[in-house]
Amino acid sequence: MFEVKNISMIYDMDTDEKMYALKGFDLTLPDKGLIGIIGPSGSGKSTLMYCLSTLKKPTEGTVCYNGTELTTITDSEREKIRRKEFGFVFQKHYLVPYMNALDNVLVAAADQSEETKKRAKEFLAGLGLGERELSKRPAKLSGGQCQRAAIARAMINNPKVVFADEPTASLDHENAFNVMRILKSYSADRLVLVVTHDRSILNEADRIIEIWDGEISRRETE
Amino acid sequence: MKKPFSAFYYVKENVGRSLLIGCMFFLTTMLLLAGNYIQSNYYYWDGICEYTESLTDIAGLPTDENYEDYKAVIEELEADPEIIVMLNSGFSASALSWKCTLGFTMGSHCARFNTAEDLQTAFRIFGYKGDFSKVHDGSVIISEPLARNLGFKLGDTLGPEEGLHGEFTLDALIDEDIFAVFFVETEEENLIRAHVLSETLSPKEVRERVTQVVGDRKVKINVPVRAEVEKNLGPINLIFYVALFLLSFVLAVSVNSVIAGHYAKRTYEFGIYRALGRTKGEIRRKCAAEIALTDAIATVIGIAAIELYTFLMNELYYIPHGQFLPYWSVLGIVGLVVANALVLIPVVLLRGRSMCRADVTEF
Repeated sequence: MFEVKNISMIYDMDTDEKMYALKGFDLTLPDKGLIGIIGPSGSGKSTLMYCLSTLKKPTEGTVCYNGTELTTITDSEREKIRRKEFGFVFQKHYLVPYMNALDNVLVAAADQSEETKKRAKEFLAGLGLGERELSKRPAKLSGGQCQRAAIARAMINNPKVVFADEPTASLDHENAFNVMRILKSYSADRLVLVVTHDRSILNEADRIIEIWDGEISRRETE
Repeated sequence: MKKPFSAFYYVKENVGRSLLIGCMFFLTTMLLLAGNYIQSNYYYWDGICEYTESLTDIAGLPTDENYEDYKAVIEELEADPEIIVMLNSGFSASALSWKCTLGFTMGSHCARFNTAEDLQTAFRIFGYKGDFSKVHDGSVIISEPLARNLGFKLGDTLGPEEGLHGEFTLDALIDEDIFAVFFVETEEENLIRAHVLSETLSPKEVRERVTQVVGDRKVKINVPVRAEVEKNLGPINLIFYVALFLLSFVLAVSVNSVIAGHYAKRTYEFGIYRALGRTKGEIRRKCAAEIALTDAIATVIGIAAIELYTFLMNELYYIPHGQFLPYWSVLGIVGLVVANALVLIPVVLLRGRSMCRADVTEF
């Protein structure tokens, strides 16, 4: 699904102290499965994820997604891909504070029909959020419930790829386990990329990529 | 179902914040009230302007020896079956001063008729209604609003203390919004002025006929006062427009800084929208719609408040005191629209552009 060639990301290009977040490596990712990208803080793992998901454009190199060269297409084409094919789960849930849980999911939906609303409710119910929780705003939900609503938001359009950047960092052990269980289940026929510094949540990963100082130091496959 | 991304949803779920921004926009509606107050100066002058446009007055000039030209013109006009000529005195007359809605004193217009019959004929042609049964030589007639403005009642004696050139009794009130003073003063001599009217010709046709008859003879034809009024009140309009732009600029800066702070707190929200694949166009339209909707609600509430204020002030104070504040004016509407545009457009453009740059990766 993803073909990355010689990808580099350099910050502060115009200064003498250039910072290499990614240092020119190749990578291939499959159509499905749970892939973990692990590394210490500042290793470039989040930057890699941003480059793959079109949130950032690499300074050098190419990122091909299903034959489409993501670094050369227009902004509107990138937006279209993000809208239809990608989903995002962030460390902090980043739910909109004035929307209830259901509307936070619907705001990401491709359409606002009654059918989509029904599907969103079913999805949230499957993630353990009942009718009572649906009408509550994020401030009235627990951290785990917010993160599950964020996962529902990421998956409402049935994206082919879900990018999860430290999805369990703000959660306790039990909720972290639940979130990883959901992501693992989704990865049965989709690609789920999880960026983390916590190896313990990647027990169920199909593959682990270790990044150190902007370079891939190890690739493990189960 | 209100869509979560829509402006209506945002305003409905964030009433407090929207009210705060709305209060800023509400201030722009004050321009409507300011324009209405300035337009109120024109309100009673409109009646005088219409009167001077509908009545053609001629006067003999001192350079006309023995007023020969004047007499010849009068003779020709009196021979016209469609023309009515009312001779009246050449002595000067004085009018009353009154207080306008803005609080300062304004002058009025005056006209003299030689007989009560002449006055009643003229008023019948103008369509002025009232009880003229007591009108006689030595009467003064004014409008009901002017009487309320000055605190006069029927039967009052008005003289030099009130600014008039002699003693007169207030013998009739006309039901018209015109701040003019009409005298009946019978003179036998010095009848070197004349009102020229017609029951069948329009005021424009009368004026044309009089102008044709006068030609280049030494007879003066009155000029309608509208141009003079607009010339005198014009500087006030100019001051209004200058104040409008200055106030709009100040409002634009303050509203923009309040809104900037408000949207800065929502940067991550818009960053998420961008990550979810919302286009820049959708983001800009969302910002524009939220701000415009808040402005529209504030403007409607502002206009309603101003109309209510105007109604209460008119009923409780202005009309009983012979004044009037209009409910709308061209000046006020221009002020409201321009102020809103000057405040709204930069805010919408700047916020839309700023939120398009929201980047979730930078949180």
